[in-house]
Amino acid sequence: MKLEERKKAIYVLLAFFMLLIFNAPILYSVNRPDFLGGIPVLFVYLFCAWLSCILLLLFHSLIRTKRKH
Amino acid sequence: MNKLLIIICSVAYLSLLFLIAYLVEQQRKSKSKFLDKSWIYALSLAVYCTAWTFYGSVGRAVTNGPEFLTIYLGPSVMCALFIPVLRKLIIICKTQRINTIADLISNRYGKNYTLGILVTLFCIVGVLPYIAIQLKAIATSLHIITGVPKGISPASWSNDTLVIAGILSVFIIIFGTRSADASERHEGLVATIAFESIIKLIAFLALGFTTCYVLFNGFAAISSEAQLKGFTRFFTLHDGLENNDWLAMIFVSGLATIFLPRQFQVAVVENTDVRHLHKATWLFPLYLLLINIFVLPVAMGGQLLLGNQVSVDAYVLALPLRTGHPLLGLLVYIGGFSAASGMIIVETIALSTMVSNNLILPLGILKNLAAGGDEKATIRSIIFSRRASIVIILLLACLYDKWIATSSSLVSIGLISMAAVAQFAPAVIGGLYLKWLTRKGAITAITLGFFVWFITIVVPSIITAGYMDHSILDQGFFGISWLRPTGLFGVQRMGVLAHGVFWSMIANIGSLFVISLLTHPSRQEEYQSELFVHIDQYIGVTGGPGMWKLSARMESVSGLLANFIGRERAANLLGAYAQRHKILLDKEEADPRIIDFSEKILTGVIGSASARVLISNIAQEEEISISEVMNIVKESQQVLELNKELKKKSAELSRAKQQLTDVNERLMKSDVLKDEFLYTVTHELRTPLTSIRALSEILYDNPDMEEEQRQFYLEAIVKEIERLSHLITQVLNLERYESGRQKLNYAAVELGGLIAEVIASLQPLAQEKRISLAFTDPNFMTLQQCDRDLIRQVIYNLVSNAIKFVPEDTGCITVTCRMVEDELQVWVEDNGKGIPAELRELVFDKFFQAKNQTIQKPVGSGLGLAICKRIVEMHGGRIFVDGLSPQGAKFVFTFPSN
Repeated sequence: MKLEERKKAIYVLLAFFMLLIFNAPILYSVNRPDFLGGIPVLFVYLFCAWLSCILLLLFHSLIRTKRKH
Repeated sequence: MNKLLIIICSVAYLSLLFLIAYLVEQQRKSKSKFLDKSWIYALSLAVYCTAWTFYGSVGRAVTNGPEFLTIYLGPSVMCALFIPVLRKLIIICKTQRINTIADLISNRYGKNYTLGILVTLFCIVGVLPYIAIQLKAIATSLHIITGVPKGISPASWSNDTLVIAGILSVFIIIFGTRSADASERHEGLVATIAFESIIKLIAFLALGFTTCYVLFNGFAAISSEAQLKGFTRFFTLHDGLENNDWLAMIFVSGLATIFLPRQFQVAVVENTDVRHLHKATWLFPLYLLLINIFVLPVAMGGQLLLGNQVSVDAYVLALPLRTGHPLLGLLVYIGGFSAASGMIIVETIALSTMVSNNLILPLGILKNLAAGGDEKATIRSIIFSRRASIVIILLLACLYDKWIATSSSLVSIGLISMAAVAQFAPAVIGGLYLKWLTRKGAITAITLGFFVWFITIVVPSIITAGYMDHSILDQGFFGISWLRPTGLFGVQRMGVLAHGVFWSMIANIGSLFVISLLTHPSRQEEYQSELFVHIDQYIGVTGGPGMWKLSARMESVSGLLANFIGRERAANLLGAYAQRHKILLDKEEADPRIIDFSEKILTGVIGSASARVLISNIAQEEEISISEVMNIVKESQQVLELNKELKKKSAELSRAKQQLTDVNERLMKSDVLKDEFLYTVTHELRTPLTSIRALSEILYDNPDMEEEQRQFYLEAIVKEIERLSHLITQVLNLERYESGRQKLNYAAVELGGLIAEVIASLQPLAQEKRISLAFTDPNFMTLQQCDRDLIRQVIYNLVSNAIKFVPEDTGCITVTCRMVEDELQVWVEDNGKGIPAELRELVFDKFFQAKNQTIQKPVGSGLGLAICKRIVEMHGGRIFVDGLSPQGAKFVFTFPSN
């Protein structure tokens, strides 16, 4: 696979991964009125997963930049 | 708060925006690189967060709990998925000078007028309510912060809306319509949008922090209080997940990041470098996360402290004002103003370009402009039509705000708009990757998609607002149950949005594929589809597949271009293009590439469909088959390949030249070293020779010298000759080691025994100076593969050196063997005066003693350590002076593991 194609494939995979973690069935398991340190567990899950995805995107973007240099 | 103060603050903030836009434009002209454009680009994408984010998210969180997050999770998910799509879109729009989404779709499907008009109309229908709610949000926030008494009539609110729209239209006209060329970047304007993004984020974070940690004792305290009061809807999703609205909202909000006209404007049209996408990939989702992190606490805080006293959409502003934080209230007001005004500015620019190019100019004006001789008047007319479009759009938004938008919440109108623009996605994304999609397919798909969107999403909201008969929702259109707007064809158990998106997308994608398969594309469509799908192949190729075999008079082409962009600019652009592609401009017939280039320039000014019409008017088109076009393109590509090959060869030659230069430099250095070495050797040889000659002359001149004295001189001569001989032997040895002629005779050597043997041979010398010389590990038993004679010489040189440097009587020398990790190390330590740190590397240089006259010169040639170094390196080991030795010198040489 060419480098350009691989980059596209990684982006698409990341998107599907994010779609998966923000939807059922994973979301069903945290969609309950429980609390973690006084904060709703659904809220904690959504923001942690979101932040992890952003870090993944940042990491991927940094790798690309380094390769370019 | 005082109304006058609020107005002064608003005007001051607007003036600041003017100033930023002006300064950035000046900076652009001076080509200064003070601002990092990738940050500006990523932050400008946050124009996505409008008043419905700022005020509406809290409102939606109060009514639907965490469901509001979908509107921001969608763009985060799509950020990754759309990077390849956006990259392709940006390249296409840059090369084709496309500046609106209507122009993009029209261009892809054969530069078709109908498509351009259709997309423009649907954009207006879909997005105008969205602009209206932004104006409404500014007016409402103004009333809340100035404390307008309850019961104020909606009419007076609309008057304020009108004033706000007027002020914003002045800003948009000044910074958004400076030039007739709509493809020109508005860098000042984009910078203000980025600045507004920062302001609204700061404002919301300040509000969230105050709510959590000033009004309450942290997020957990708000949550527990909300739980105690029974507000459980904040903690879980209920209907959203069950009726698929959650997934539908992620889907439409993701598509909106590209297909909303304002998003297309900032993400594609205003992009100055494709590489900026990398930063936007993570910075934009991070922005969305930050601006949403306090939405739930603010919603809970608002519900707990304000309850039903104010509208849920007004919690954001009412919360600081009602709890005695007027300054925070002012900041929040400015943040909300930023969110709404940023959206209005960009959305209006994008829509006005579409309206001007696709609705106003084609209405007979275009041909008159093309025929008219006064170029300045033509340019003024184009700019006027764009400015008129801005005013019309904002006026329509005010009218919508006055008569219609009274019942819908901020978020619901926003979602309806997003679902509307999602209807462009199949035609655009399909058009980028599938060549066989046709114009008729695209027209049918967009029309049907919008029709189903209207029936399934807009009609239910109109019915809910009370403008239509409610029975339609229960019994269906014309009393047919399977035509119910929320249960089309009997599909139940879906939310209104999920249901609408599901059916509109089925209608849209289905008709796009079916009609495209049943119809044939025109030649122009074939050209455009080839260009769009394989855009990477056409970067740098002159012409492209859309280039006709056209014949037109050069005078007509340049005259047409001059009419729309001015004679001077037209001459400059054509001249530069002709020079770049080696085209002669003084011919009567225009080169087809010049015609193609002129069409692209016109596309930037009046849109692709209008540009095609004008070019067709002055040029005779000869039919050209797609295979001929492909041949032309292939030839261009071959030329490009050849250029690449030449560049490659040139780079190789440069590399070879650099290598030769390096080798030459090394040779010159070697030459200098050789001269230095020869000088040192001859100097060292001359010293004993001088002594020998002097002593011999004394003996020769004094034949009667006493026997004892004669003996003394003769001994001195013999010593000097020995020294000379020793020096020559060492030079020869060193030369043999360095040239590689010395072969190593490897054998298993018992190192402990070898060291003991050397020490025994040097004991008489040590005893002569009354110093202690000892081997600390006499029982060290290790067999080491090495050349016994050469290693013996190394140990001998190091120990004899140490003997020379230690003081008499108190001198102490020890030799030690150690296994350190995989290395066998031999240490030779003494208690002499040691070696300064700066000389530890230099002592291994040839003739180091001779070169350093400040050091007292002991007996020796100055080659001993150089020889040691060479021998150890030949064995693959290292030799160095250990800097950690507390006193004296410690020489270490190592052997790698056997």
